Amino acid sequence: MTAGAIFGAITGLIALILSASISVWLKLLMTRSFNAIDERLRVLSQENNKNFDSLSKKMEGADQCIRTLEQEIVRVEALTQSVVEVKDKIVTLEGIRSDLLERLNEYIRRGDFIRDTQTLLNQIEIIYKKIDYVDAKIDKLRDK
Amino acid sequence: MTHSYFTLVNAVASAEEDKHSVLEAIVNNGDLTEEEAASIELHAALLGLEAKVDKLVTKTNSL
Repeated sequence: MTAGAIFGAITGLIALILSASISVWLKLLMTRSFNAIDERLRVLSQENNKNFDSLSKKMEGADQCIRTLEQEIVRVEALTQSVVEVKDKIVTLEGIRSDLLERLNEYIRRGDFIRDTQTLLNQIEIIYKKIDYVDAKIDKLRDK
Repeated sequence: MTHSYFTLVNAVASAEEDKHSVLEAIVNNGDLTEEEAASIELHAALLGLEAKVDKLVTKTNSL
């Protein structure tokens, strides 16, 4: 064997040993990295689950709020409708009131109010007298 | 206004003197219009009539 072949064999051996060492070291490093990533993923997954539960509860609460709001909207719509109806009725009643006032003023203007009142007062006076007459008759009957 | 209206009606209904003259005096004083006085007089007369009828019915029932 020549000196060159021996040197080549030694260099090859050293290279083989170095290569094996680097491979083992890299494998160790990668395993550690994978474990760290795994752990991180596990923690993230747990946090994610917790967040999901919390979010689900919040969504349920939001759903309930939306349902309540929907009911309130229906109630407010019904109230608004009632207010509109009442306003319409007020307008109608104001029209009737205005019409009646006009007719009453016309009735008074024509002098019919005073005339009719006087007629009624005269009739009441006649009824008074008739009642007095019956009253006296009853007294006479009582005396007998 | 409503309160004073009923006060006047009751006062006129329970007045012993001539109700029409009392109201006429108030009208002449400018405190009431002729229509208001007529309305009060009619209301008072109806109250008096109601009282008279009640009295008569009571008397008749006691026979």
